[in-house]
Amino acid sequence: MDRTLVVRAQGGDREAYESLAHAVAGRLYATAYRIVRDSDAAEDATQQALVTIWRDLRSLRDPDRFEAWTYRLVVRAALDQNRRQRRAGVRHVAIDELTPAAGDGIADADTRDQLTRALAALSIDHRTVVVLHHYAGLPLGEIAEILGVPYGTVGSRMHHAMRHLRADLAMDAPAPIPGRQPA
Amino acid sequence: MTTAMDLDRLLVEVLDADGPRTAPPRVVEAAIQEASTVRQRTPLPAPLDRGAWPRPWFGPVLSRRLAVLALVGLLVVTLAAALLGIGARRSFLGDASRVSIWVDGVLHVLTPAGTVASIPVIDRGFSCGIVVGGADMVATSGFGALVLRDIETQREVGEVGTDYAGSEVWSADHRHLALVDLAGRVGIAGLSGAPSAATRWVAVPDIRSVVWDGMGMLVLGRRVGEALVIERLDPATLSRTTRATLRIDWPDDETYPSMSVAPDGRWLLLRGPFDAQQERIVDLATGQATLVPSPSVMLAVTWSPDSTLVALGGLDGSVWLVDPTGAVVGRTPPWERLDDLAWAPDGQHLAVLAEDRLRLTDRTGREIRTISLEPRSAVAWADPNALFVARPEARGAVAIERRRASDLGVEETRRSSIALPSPPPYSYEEVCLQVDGPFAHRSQP
Repeated sequence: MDRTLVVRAQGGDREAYESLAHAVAGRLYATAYRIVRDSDAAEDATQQALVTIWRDLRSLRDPDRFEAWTYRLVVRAALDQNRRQRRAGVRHVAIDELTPAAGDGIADADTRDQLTRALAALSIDHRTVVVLHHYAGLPLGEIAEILGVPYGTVGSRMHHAMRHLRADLAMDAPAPIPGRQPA
Repeated sequence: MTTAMDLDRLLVEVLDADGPRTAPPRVVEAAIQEASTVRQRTPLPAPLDRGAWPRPWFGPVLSRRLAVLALVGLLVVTLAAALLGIGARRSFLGDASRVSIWVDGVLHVLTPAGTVASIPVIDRGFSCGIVVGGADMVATSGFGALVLRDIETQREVGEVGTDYAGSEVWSADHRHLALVDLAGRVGIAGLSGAPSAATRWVAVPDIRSVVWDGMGMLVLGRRVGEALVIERLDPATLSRTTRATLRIDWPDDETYPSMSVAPDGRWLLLRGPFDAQQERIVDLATGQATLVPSPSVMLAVTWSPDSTLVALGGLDGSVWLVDPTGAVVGRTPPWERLDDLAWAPDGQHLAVLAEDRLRLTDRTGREIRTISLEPRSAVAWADPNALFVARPEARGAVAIERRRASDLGVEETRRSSIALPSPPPYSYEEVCLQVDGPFAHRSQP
C-alpha cells in the first residue's frame, strides 16, 4: 500500500482516499464474503468499512499499519452484518446448496466439496480466524490485534476450527510427536 | 489419509477459489459517495467534560445532599470505630499500588488515593493491551501506536517508539517496556519523566521474541539459520550475552517462539508452535533444554513467585504444574473452559478461573476452595491473604471485590461506572484485570 496515499488521505485529501478505496475494496470484499458467505452482507460490510476508513483514518498512528487496520474494520463490519441478518431472520445459503468453484486440480472434487461445506458449518467466529489466517495470510498475533482478543483466544478458535474441519473430513487424530517424553 | 499439512494447503486452495476476489464497482462508488457526506473524526477523543461524565462510585443516582449526608455518616462511624478499636483491617488495595480493569472498551483504574479513573479507550486500545505505568500514566496500544495518557487528566502525554511494530513487552513491575520496531531494533523505555525521549534502541538482527525476567533483564530469542539463539540483554549497558542455542522446527508463523522467564531469571519456558505441544524448559545458566509434558495445546503459562513451579494451562481446561526439571508434580482435572491463572504471592496457592468458578488449589493441583462467579469475571491477588475479583455488571460498569483467601468470602466491594455517550463499537468478550505493585499480575489467557 502506498504510504503517501494514506498520509495524504489522513490529511483530508479526498482524491487520495478514493484511490485507497479502489485499491483495498477487492481485498476487503473478498474477505468479508468468505466470512459471511453472503454477497449482500459482504457488499454492505465492505461499504461500511470503506466509509469508516475515511471517517477514522486520522486515528491510525502508523500509516504502515493501514492494511491490518482495514482488516479490522471490515471484519467488524462483517460480524455486525451477520448479527443483523440473524436478528432479521435472513435466510443463509444452505450448506448443501454450496457449490465449490473449480480449482487447479490438486485436490479432488469430493474433498473440496466436503471442505467447502465444513467451512460453511463453522461458527462465524471460527470461520473468521480461518479466513484471516488461510486466505488473508495473517499470522495469529496479527489476527488477535485485528479481532481485539488475546492471542490465546485466537489460538483456541483456530484449534477448534481445525478440529471441526478435520472431523468433517474424517481425518485421523494428529500423529504423536516423535521423541516426546511420556507424562 | 489427509494430513494436517494437506488440510492447510486445501484450505488455502478452497478459500481462494470459493468466492469473489474483486468488489462490485457500485460498492466502491457508493462508499465514496457516502464518505463525501461524512466528516473525518479528530484523531483523539475530546478531553472529557467532568460535568458530563459522572464521577465513578457516586454515579448519577445520588444527589449532592445525599452524598454529603453519607460522608458525614461515614465519618461518624469511622470515628466511633476508631474509638472502639474496631476496623483495623487492611486497605482495599492491600499491597497493590493500583488495580486496573479493562472491560467493554473502558479502562477503570483504582488508585491508592481512593479515586478511580474510568477512561474510554476507543479505537486504539484492545483487550489486555493496556498497561498502567509507574508514573500515573496509561498506555494504550494498537495499530502502530503506543500512546501514553495521564490518568488524572486523561490527556495524551506522549508516544513511545518509532516505526512501532505492535510488539511491546512490559517488565514485571509494569514500569519499563521493551519494543520491537519494524527494523528489528529493540527499544527500552521507562515510564517516568519524558517517556518517548527515554527510549533507547539497540539493533538485534533476526529478533523473534523479547521477554523480561523478574530481575529486570531482557531475554531475547533470535533466529540464526534453523537455530534459536537465546540471549540476555542488560538494559543498562545494552550488552548481550548468549545463553543457549537450540535447534527447533520453525513454522511459518513468525510470532513463534513465545517465551516465559521465571522470576529468578534462571529458567525459561519456550512454547512450541501452536498445536505442536513441543514446550521446553531452558536452563539459562547452562543452556540445557528439556522437553516438558504439557496439557493439550497450551494457552497460559505462569511461573510461581519462587520460580520452583510453572503452571501450564491447556486448551482442554486442565492445569499442569511442572518443576524446572520437567517433572509434573500436579495437575487439575480438565474443565470446560480456562480463563485465568494467578499464583498467590507466597507461591503456596494457585487461583484458577475456570467454568465460571474461582478455584483455589495447592501446589499439587488439589482443589481447596471454590466459589461460583458470573461469566466474564477476572481474578488477581491483592496480597497473600486476599484476592481481587472483577465482575462486569453492565456496559461500562464493573464491581471489584476484595475476597478473603481463607474462605473466598467478600470483604469489600468497590464499583466503577461510566456513562458512555455512545457505546464503543466493540463487542469484546474478555475482562482483563491488572494489579500493579509487589505482586504485579495481568490476566493472560
